[in-house]
Amino acid sequence: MNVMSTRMRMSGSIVILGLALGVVPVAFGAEAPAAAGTEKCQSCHADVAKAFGSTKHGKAAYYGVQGAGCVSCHGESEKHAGSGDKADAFNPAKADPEKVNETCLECHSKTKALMFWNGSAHSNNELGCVACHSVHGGKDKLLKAADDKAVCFTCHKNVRAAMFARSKHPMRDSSNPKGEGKMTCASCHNPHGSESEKLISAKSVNDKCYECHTEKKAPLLWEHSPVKEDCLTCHAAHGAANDKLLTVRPPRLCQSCHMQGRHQSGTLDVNSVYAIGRSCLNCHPMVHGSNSPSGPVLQR
Amino acid sequence: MRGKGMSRKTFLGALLAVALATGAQAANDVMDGKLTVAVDAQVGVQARQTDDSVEKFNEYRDVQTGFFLDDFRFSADGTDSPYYVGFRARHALRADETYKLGFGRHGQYGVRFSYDSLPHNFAQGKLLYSGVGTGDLVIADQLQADLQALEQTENDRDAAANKVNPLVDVTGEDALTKGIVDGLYSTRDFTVLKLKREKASLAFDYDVANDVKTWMKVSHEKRDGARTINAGSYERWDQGAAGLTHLKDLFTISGAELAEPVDYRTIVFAVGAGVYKKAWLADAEYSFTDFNNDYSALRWDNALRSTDEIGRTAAAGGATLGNNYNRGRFVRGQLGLPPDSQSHQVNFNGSVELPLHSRFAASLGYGLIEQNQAFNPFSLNTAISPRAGLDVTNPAALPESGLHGAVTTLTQSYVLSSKPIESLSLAAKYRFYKYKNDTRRISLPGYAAWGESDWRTVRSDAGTAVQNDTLGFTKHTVDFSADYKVAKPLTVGVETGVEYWDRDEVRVDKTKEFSVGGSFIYRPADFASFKAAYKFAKRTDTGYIEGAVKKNPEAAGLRNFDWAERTRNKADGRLLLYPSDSVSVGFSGQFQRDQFAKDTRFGLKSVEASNGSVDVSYSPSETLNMFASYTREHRRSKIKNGAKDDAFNAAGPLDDSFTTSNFNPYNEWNSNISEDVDTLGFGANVAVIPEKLELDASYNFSHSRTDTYTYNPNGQAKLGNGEAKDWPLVKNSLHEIKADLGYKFTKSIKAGTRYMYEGFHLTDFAWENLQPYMPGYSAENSTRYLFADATYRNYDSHVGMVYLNYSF
Repeated sequence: MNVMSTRMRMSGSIVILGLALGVVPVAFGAEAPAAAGTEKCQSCHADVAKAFGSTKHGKAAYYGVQGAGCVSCHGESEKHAGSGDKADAFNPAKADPEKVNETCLECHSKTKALMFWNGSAHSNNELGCVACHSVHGGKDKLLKAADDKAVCFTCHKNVRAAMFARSKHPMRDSSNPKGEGKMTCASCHNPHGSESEKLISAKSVNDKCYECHTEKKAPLLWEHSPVKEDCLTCHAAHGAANDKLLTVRPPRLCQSCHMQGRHQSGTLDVNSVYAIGRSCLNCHPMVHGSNSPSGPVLQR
Repeated sequence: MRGKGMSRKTFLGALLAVALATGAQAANDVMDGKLTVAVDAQVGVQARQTDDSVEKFNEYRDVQTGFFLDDFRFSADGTDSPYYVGFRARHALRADETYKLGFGRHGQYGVRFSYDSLPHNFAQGKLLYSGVGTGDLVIADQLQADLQALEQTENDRDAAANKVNPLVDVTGEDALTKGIVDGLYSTRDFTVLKLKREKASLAFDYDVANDVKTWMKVSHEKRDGARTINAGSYERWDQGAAGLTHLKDLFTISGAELAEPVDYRTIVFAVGAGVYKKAWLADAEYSFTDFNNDYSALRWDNALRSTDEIGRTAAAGGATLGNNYNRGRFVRGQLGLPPDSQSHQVNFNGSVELPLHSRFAASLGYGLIEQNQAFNPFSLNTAISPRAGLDVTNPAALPESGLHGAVTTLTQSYVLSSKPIESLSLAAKYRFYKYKNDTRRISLPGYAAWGESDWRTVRSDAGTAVQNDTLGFTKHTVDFSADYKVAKPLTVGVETGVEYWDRDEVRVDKTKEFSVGGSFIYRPADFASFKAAYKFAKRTDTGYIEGAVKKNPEAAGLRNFDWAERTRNKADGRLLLYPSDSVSVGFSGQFQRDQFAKDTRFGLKSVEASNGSVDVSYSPSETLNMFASYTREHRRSKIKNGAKDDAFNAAGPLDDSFTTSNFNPYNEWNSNISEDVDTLGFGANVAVIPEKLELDASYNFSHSRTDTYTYNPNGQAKLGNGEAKDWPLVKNSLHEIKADLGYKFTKSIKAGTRYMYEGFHLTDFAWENLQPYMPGYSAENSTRYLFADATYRNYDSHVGMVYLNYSF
């Protein structure tokens, strides 16, 4: 079955790739609109312009934003054109973050991903767009580094440290030369601002978690009250020294809130079944809630 | 295996052929220069050698010995036409493979396909069951009969001579049981507990006009495999009266570590449209999510029982039916697994420019989540039907066939930002989240409790009727911030906010948190910047139901920290220095201290978390770059707790004010949990021969220590399970070494060799003390629990490879 599915995937991929390659020469024969506003710059900066043309910004200048060109970011540079002096041109890479952002937002204010930029954490910290992005591009998303983790970890060192923790999300893969894991910071966060807290790119922390952990989203017959309010009550999303991304190891995590009876309120020895293995979950496995009629105390 | 091997070679060959063919074409100007083609392919062969837990090493990946195609990219883009196509394959034909294909016309439409496979390997374990990975775990009937015959009854243990320690193996049956179980485990093969998540998606974007966009997305995700889950119960035993003044704080636990089948399918469909102009934007999106779980229950044979029975109250297995003794006497158990559900979500977003350099952004959402999975029966234990007065094994005996669960969510988020003058930035935010639970309230006649060996007509936790709670909440958040540029190098900011929660059917009614803070950013020169912020927040609660009542069965004086009064102090800062063009130094740190309900007796009382980092990079020339970083994290939690006594109160002055609380001060215990994590990393990129021979090497190290220190604040505890116990340090460390030496033969071809070492080492008593079958010898230990011992511990893994990178 696995072999079959692998073959199917392989065959499918080759067919799709082949079709795509077959289609390309035909499609690329079409004429394209002329780019605007770059001729003068190209006369001196031909290499830069050529390289820029294949980037997202370059394509946007051609096909997305009418009238876009070098002057869109570098401003009217008549003086520079005359003198050839670098100082006479506006260079976003070396300008004040606020000025840079104003320039970028000339186009990107119409970008949905940036609609909550003003007033966001990164905006309030006077982070310029060029702190993370290289306008002339090269990398995915025009990032300055190989991926968004490398960019974010420039400042968020404690989060980088969490990548090496005992339990973590699949973000780090040291076997890969780029260190790319399956998730990136942008899997959960929108660094450009969001409608919810912590730059989470969802309605709430829980709504973000449900995108992958969908089985925990639905209402259940027996709920564990903190679960639907905030996953972060018990879990540390970036990584933890405890198993299952838990902020504190059970049973102490559970004992922070539960001491109704005798068996919850013991100090517990190191050979107690209440403390070893999965601790409280040895008997109460349904900590995220139960839909069993016999699950009021989350045992079933 | 042969077939897969052939497929792998065929696939790799096909991709490489495409790469080389297009590469050759590109060198000759594809389509007379109308097309730019880029290809990046890395192929090679690698060898991996892993000692111990390969599952932990490959937790979310699949590093194998053999040929590999780590990364293959192909993209073609018109130089004077708007069409493009791109393909990327990562980790082809491995368990963590990813494929992406996209094509379209810039500024008009785009199509993206993707397939991604994500393994999640847990550990190897030994299970006595057949049927792992299904909803039906089966064990030989004879084994059940043999182990049931060796049950050491409460009557055996509770003989007068054994009152002091009834866990003594009076009849020798504990040892015999252990012999049988250990013998069986020795004949079993290890089972790898793992999941695999495969997601395929298709997205289509179409721009109706330059500013008008539409999109459609559909994805199908399959999660498949098995992971461990436990099921158990306990009995409370009479500890006897020999020299003791209290009873029944002695527990024995029975149960088993099982394999939970996972066979989830999630389909998401979304469609939307929007208008995006510079001055304003607006869009709407609808999405539908269908979650399906092929297994509604996990049913398993109880290895310790061959006949159903019901628990009893009386010692010596007496005739009185009840809950205290002989729990867990079911032949087949049943766990409810996550139910199928469907959800709908509609979102509206908008943003508009306003005068005074202002902007208003809003997002509104309405969601509906429904689940009505057919209930499993109360139990499979036929013996409790007479006591229940109904057939507990028949779902028709339930008052409802399903939950009719329905939750609606209403969310709103508004941000008004303004910059009325050049030096002043203002932002006001309001967020609203309503989680309205319209789930039907269901009154059940009772439920199977105590390891499905008894029928309870009141909830054992609350002592209330068996009826579900329909938890819900409404959350309002208001924030205001102002940042003022005092001078070019200095910006100061202030912020304040309120967070208000109104909850339904939990033991707190409302909480309100007020916060205020300040910050500054100081950039005295190009070579330095300093940022710091401080925030104070105070949360108060209203209507917290004091414990030891039906609506809050927890101890009187306990506050759940997530609902409790809280004082928060939070500070963070960052200093960046660039003393020269070749050197950068960064210092950063954060501190947060939460104090919870300081005037109450029990619960989590404080959490203090801090971290500090320093990072340095040095690039003395274009051929050398060195970097290093160190982070130290500290987290300290303080918990106040106490062992519950029955009707016992030791004489003494400490008793007086607590004689009715069941928590004698002598039995109080506090636990301080300290966690320290050090993370160190350094490395270098060296161009040994510029433009030709490059060496990249790095080392990362992480080490964590968790110390749980427990003490009795009021002297010697009177209860055995209230006495402070020493827990050993829990430690883990990870070493990661990577080195890559690559030689560029041409601009397009690079060959190299790479070595990686990862070593993970864990010291954790929770797993080290585990045995497959554990006869007990402490006051809280098991006499009948079967563990699969399915956990990771250590690994040392070496990976060596040679590779060829081809790109243009």
